[in-house]
Amino acid sequence: MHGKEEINLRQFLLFLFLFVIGTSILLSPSSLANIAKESAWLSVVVGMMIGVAIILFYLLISIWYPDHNIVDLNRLLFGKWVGTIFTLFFIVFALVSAATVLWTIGHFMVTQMLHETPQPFIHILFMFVVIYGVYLGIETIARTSELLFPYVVLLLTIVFVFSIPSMNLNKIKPFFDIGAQDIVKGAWFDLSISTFPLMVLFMVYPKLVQEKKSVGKKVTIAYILAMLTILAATFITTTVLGVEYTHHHIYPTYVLAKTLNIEGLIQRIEVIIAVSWILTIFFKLSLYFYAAVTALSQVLKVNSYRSLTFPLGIFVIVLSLIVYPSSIYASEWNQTTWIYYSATFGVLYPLLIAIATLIRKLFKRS
Amino acid sequence: MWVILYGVILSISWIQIRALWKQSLKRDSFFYIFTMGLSLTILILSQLGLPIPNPLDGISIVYDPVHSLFQ
Repeated sequence: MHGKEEINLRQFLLFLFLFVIGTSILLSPSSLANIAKESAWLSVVVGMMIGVAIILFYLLISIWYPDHNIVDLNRLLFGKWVGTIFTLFFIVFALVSAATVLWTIGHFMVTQMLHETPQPFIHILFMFVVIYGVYLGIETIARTSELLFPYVVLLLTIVFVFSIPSMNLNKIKPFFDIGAQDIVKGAWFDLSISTFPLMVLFMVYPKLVQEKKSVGKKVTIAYILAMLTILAATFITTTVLGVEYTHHHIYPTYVLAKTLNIEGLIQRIEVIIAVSWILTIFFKLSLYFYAAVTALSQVLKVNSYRSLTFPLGIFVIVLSLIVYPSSIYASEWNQTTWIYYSATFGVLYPLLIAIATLIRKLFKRS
Repeated sequence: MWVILYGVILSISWIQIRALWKQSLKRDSFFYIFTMGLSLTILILSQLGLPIPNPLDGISIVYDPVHSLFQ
């Protein structure tokens, strides 16, 4: 059933938006407040500028190869054996990312909302929905994204707008007190969660999207809007809660929604942010999982990726139970290994593709 | 609870493998059984509390020199 599926450009842009804000809306503010202190919001701005360049670079690759996905590209550029090894690394990357994202949502639910529930069962329930979505195909997930996107935007807007009265700009003074090095470090961390994993969308974009009118502008705008959402989340959490308080919490946006109080009328709306987060996580997890499953089915040359969905889904559940032994391990690993691991796939690997393409073009000419 | 989970997994697998077998997709059903066997083995091992090597530790070992380079 390869090649028959098709999504339109708007659905892809929604994927991009939901993928970028996916986990980072809850995780970024805490780590950024830890790394860049008062300049956390500045880190996101720097990250956005670098991110736009990276997105345009990805677009360039997709323009060079309009009907290849990652697996085809690997086979074309690096040959059968080396290409297959690269693809296997890519599959491992997608699976590990999916498992860590699944662990994050499970940990969030257990620590913040469902205290009495064992964590494995939240993983299982959440992953079964994702497996069913991927089993039904990328078109179904795309249509679901169109359906649920307004809710995500509406709920996030409610939280952001209602927190404006309690903002206090004195909490992020002094401006620019921290060195440029730490700001770039924070930007890198933010990019490693939101932008570098966008490489996974290469399993969807050039091959499954047919209409490609003024893609560059639209993709850039979607990306900037998503980063602005993260910027708003970071800025509001640091100004409302203060830098120290923000980085003591793992999920500061959730705490922000808890403290929100409009004249005693609207309060305790943290479930709103939990719902919007569950929706965005669903799409991020689905796209990671879809990329892993389709890439593996192409490598193994099976008839349809649907037959591999359920076993690999169980594999992701198992992996999510063992990847992070504790939340301390998780934040340590994210800040010491994940930033390089995702940069390998988000920066080095596209560069390698670009160099290989240039060499190919030179040889063709001569 | 875990019994229910294993029951659900095995019954879904049974239905899907039978469907694949009826379409005579031998390659598909072989990879289905292989991946499912692997996943279930690791799941049962982690249920029994046996130490399973964490893939993230392996990735950490590879990227440790890079991290110390940037510090």
